[in-house]
Amino acid sequence: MLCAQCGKNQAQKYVRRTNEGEKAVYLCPDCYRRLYGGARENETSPYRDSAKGVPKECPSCGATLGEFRRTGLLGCADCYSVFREALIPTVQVVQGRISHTGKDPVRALDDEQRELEDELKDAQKMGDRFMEQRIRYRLSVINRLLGGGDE
Amino acid sequence: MKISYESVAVSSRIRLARNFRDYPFPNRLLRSPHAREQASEIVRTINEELNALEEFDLYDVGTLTEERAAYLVERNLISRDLVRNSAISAALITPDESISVMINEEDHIREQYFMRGYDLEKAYERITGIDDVISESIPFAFDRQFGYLTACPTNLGTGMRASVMMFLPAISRRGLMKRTVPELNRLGLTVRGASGEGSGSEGDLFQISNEVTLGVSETEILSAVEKAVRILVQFELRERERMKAEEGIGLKDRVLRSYGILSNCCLIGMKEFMELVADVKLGVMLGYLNAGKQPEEVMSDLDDHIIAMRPANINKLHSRTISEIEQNAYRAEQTGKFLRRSEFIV
Repeated sequence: MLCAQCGKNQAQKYVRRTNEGEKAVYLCPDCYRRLYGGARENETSPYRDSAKGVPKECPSCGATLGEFRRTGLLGCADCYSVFREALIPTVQVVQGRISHTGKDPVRALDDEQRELEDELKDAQKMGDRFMEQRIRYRLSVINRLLGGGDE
Repeated sequence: MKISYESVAVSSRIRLARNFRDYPFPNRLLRSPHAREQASEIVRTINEELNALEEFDLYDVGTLTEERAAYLVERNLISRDLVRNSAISAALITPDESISVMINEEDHIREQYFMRGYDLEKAYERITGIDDVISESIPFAFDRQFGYLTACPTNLGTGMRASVMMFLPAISRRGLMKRTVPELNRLGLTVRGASGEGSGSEGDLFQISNEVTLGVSETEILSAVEKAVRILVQFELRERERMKAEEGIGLKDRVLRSYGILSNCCLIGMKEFMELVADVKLGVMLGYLNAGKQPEEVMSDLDDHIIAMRPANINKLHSRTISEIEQNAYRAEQTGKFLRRSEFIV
């Protein structure tokens, strides 16, 4: 996934603690530092070290690999990132493949975002405030869908 | 008499599994202290999105009576798993019952389009259109490697299950399913009984669907299922002709006996009813029974009648749960009337 702020660099998931609870943001490290003034320890990605060894439980939902082996079910979307290395052999067995081809909602949103950014520049040049407002609103929705915070 | 695909491939269904990115999957959500609030939020969001698009009726499974839930299960609009999750589950169903969206079954969203007859492409276009619209405002759980993320890895990737319900009396009665199932498995397809996973065959109906959902595109899944359907239709039609030639008057006698029992009995249980109706359908297809309209139309009418004669559907018509004997009497009476109305010429 690309960074929700700059749209250029590869994003990383950061969990931010806010008054409303934990919130995930998908930003590249540069944008994260620029927006939040450097990563504090408790706000960095909990999955950063997962490659070194599979964590015991998913920090988002508390599910464990043992539970998955018993029930066949994962607890949340983040489980796939946390347990990725351990899941790949299982996925290979049940599906025969491990990489998705087909419909991609993220790519569709990325494409829409790029088109809207061009349209936004045109609207600004033309001084069309109404169009500018509409495009900005849709861009904020896309940003939210791609994992960024509300603008 | 021209026999089309639809005398074998009787209905088509496409199902897409989706999840919200930021909520635990239903199995975990059930254990959360905020389960009710989070489930309500999920239901509210999907309901708003879908009803902005077209008319959907919302069913809160937790408030449905047992009879009403059984009625919806019999019509394949909801699953037993959805009923088991009644503390957090709901369903959105179009008035014509062609689209049903189950909320908080195994995944947050199970969107399905059902149609009589055989047209998987149409079914896919319809449901993917709905999916596109909701994905414009709901953040789906999606991963570059695994595709759409689902609670069970067997649904990863496209999250898509394309199934066709097939009426296979000749293949099944001639003992050829044992040979056919491994062939279908080899093509990446599964064969289930009429009521889905774990169910046995009923009335010679079998559901054919794709097994693999990851690493294949939606178009490839459709092509694989279509290819299998094509092979099965040809195989079944050939076997029907063989059966007719080999069994001759014996087969005709069985069809007409079944027709006779269904037309005249006073009590009939569901199992026997399904077996005899399958004989009548086969009789229509082989030209032993003629209702003055296309065989596929007669078959479709009979399929509607079968659904209406299921226990929970009969209870709904009576607005109460009636005893099994009353149900069997009602089924026998209505089936006799139905067959007389159809004016079959033997």
